[in-house]
Amino acid sequence: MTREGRGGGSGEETTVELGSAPDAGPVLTLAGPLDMATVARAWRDADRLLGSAPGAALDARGVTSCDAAGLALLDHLVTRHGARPDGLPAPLADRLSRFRDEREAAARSRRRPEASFVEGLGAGARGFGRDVAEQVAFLGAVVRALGAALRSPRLWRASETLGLAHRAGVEALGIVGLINFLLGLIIAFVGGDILARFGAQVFVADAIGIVMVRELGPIMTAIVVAGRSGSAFAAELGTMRVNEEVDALETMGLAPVPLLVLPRVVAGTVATPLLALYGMLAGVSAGLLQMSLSGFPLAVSGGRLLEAMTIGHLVIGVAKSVVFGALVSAVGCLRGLQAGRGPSAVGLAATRAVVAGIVLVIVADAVFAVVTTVLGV
Amino acid sequence: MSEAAVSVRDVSVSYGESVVLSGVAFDVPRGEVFGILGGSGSGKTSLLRCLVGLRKPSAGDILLGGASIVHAEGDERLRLLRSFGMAFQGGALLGNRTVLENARLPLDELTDLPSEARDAAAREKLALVGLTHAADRLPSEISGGMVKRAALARALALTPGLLFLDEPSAGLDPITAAELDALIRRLSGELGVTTVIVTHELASVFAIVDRAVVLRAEAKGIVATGDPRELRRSASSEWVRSFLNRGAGFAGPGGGDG
Ligand SMILES: Nc1ncnc2c1ncn2[C@@H]1O[C@H](COP(=O)(O)OP(=O)(O)O)[C@@H](O)[C@H]1O
Ligand SMILES: [Mg+2]
Repeated sequence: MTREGRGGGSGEETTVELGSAPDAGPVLTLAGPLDMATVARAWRDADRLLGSAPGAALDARGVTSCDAAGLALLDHLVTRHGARPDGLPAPLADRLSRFRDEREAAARSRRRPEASFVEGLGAGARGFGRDVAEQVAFLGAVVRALGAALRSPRLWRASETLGLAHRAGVEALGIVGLINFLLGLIIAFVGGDILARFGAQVFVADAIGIVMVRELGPIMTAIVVAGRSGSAFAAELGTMRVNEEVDALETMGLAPVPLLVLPRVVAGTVATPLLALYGMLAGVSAGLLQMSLSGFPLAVSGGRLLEAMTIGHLVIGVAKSVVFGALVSAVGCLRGLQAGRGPSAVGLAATRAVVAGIVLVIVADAVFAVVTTVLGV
Repeated sequence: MSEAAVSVRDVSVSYGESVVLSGVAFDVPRGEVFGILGGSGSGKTSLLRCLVGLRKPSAGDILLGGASIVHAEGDERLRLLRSFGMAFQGGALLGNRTVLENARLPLDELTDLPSEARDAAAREKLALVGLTHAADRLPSEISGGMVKRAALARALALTPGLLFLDEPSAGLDPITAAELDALIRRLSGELGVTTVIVTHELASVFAIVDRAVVLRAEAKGIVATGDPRELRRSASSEWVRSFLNRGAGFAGPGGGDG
């Protein structure tokens, strides 16, 4: 006979013994208190003992008290080791069967297990499709609100829109100027280095003009707007969602798009191209500055620049900025309105707004590249 | 025949696969203060969100003044939404607008009144809830109880005949709570406003509620309907009686068997 034991909290000893009855085969005898203080040890002991005696009968007549941890042990012995509970005292058997019912009910109501990789891919693709559909529907709602505002000037909310445009535009001048200036310097350095090998360093002016005005100026500016204003819009509207402010508007029969989204989209769409123009100027100046430092007088580099830069490049750059600004601010508002509940919802909405904003800017830029190439402008 | 202000017909509410309410049915007669009572998690807020059209029940129908808020769309839905006022538990005031601007919001957006008239109407409602002195403060600059009263003023802005209140006195000090109760009572008495109030504050229940349904999470629905003062004494369900007698003796008039 093997015997394991341990003192319980009250001095009473909890014991786990494996014996055998003449006609019943192996018997696991539990005695003393089965509670949180004693179950860990009893669990290990019983596991070891029953490892060699599956299907043993349980004898728990000596159990003096049993809490939920004790019930979990009995349940474990029955389910895992096939122990037979027929020898349990009636009250304990009752509690055990109720415990098992509850455990099974809890297991049934638990959320679905993690999906497999393939399921995950499918769900991801479905989610992406739904996301695109939502963005299109949302843009539709914004355009409808815009249409309504065109007919009724009161709906412009001019002072609110101006305030938002100030925040999205004027307050971003510093960072937009700095980034585009540095970018202009870098391009002039690298481009000058390469073109110097062919004795064509003066064409750096062409490169600077076209790259800053048509491509990088609008893109970098839009990325700054996504980071500053797209995220701010998402955080503001997300907070309103979490605080039930959006719900409150809805119960008043007020739609969030004309009231909250339109001013932000208009502000972003107006501020972004203005910012981009300023960014282009900063980038181009930086390029010319670098050229003059490497020995080209402003008359020469500026002349090249004016020759290379057609009005077409400028128009395309500004047109892109308008589209980028609209996309970035609209998706910021959408992510805010989509915010879930709970404390992390607002931060998540802001993050998603920035990511979606940058992705949309790059995708739209690619579309512009294809279209302008096809049109030959 | 006067139809009910609110008619709830076999409404079920579920979130995904988990059913919160099933087969809930009751009518709110015009002019009454009607309570939706129950412990936390019993589905009071879920039901209220359906009543005000923020959520579609998974089954059943809800009529406001005889018209279905569940199935209404477009202009009909707007008309229904504008026929009642709703005050949220947390106030849900717009954070970047002052108390007065919040109270004026429905007037600004939904009426053609000149600005002086909108201002006067909003200030009248602020006076009603005792917030005249806080008109120009932002929601972040006033206390929780004041936020709730401002939310009530906003819900009253268009002088609706039907008012929904989610836990209006929860978290208020007893004196402010009693004042708010008196105000709700007065609105229904003098102006005939039908009020549906979600609450677990028994003091408010016994002070102002004419009739109530009691929800229970385990039952996924209504376990008792009637005058709460009677239910507390003679509800057939033992659970309902003990629910309504929590802390008896502190709970105001109508009980006190300790
Ligand atoms: N948005 C939600 N998503 C999932 N479950 C919810 C949601 N809102 C409420 N529930 C669940 O519905 C039940 C009732 O909640 P609620 O209506 O808030 O009750 P009460 O207002 O009576 O406290 C709760 O079990 C809660 O967990
Ligand atoms: Mg609630």
